[in-house]
Amino acid sequence: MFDHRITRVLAALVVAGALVSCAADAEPPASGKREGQGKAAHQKRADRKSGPQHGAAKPGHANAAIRRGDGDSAGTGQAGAGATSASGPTGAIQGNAAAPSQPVWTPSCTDDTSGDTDSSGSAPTYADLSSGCLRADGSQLLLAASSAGTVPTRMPDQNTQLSYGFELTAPSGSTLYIHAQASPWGWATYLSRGDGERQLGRPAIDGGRVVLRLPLAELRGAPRLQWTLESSWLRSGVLGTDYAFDSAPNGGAASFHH
Amino acid sequence: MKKRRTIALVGVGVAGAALALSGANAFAGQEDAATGGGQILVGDKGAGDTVAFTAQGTAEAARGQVQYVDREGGTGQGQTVMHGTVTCIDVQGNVARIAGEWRDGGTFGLYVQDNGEGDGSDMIALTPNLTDCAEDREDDDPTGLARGNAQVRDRG
Repeated sequence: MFDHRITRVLAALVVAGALVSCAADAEPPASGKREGQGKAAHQKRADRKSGPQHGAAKPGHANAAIRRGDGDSAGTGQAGAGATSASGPTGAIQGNAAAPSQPVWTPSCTDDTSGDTDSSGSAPTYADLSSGCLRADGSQLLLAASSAGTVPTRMPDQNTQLSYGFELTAPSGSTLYIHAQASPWGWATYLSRGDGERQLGRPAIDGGRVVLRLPLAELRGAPRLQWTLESSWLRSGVLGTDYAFDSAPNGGAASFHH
Repeated sequence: MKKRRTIALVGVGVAGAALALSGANAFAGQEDAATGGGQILVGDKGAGDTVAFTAQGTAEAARGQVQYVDREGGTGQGQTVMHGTVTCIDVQGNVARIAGEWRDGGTFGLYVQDNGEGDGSDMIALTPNLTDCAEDREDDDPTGLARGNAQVRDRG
């Protein structure tokens, strides 16, 4: 009888533990709700495409980029295997353990009006920004630029250039510029502080979204940032130069802080 | 004495007609504005250096972007893409003087002359190391001519 009670108690503990675990997995991540909404379709496409698309990237970074993409869409409730197995439990542990010492950044998103590019010729829809989002993920800052069209994995020729750039300004006034740039050879990410630039890993391309990653340490302790997003597309043709520029927000800057 | 390398781009008729401004709010508001693009004609390298820009604001404060593709390295991956942000714009009639900063360091000035859509004689001159829209640019010495098109709006 005594053993039977112990068995019941253990069983109850196991059930309770399972419920807690499920609740933790189901809880939306810190990403902006609006960012997650409407991205499910894109994410499904990305899940299908992620293999060959990221196959061209450096192995380590490619894997990380895929996790980041899944993590972003976990807010839709379709947490993929990568999100749950890689960032889910780890994030929960980090969140509990690091709360007293590490700042918790509030996700920041901004929408942009459709069809508001400064452009000439036949500018592609992917040059038209629809939104931008910043959020922290562990030690990384994720910067997502979403456009009205599907972002290509490379430019068709060397006469065509595409860039999505984030300008981050600290309270001190120092500015950090991180941008993803496409060429016929694919994508690359560059970081600049106004004195040259250095190359980071490749961004993750997911349908109409480009996700850049930056170590939070690069913010150098800034408690808050003002940020803007811009896109630029340029094509040199026989008859002239086509271009398209867009920025978000359309006036002022968004705020990212902890 | 600062070194200046100036690039001038002059539009031709066909290019001007082909490049119609289609932005929905290219010149929203009542601020001075300019936008355009063009490329230098070079000999056997194919398409030359290319510049495109958009600027809106005043001589004190402005916003906008500049993208410049330097193809001095010829074809292939030797080309350099530079991004700049606009800090001021001063428009007098059909001429816009723009200045800004390259993202990776340095400054630039743009001299833009809009001679009419399809007219074919628009000029865009890019000059490194300028920081002020009112800075004297009489020393500018264009080193190349190319096709291009520009739109300038004087709302001041």
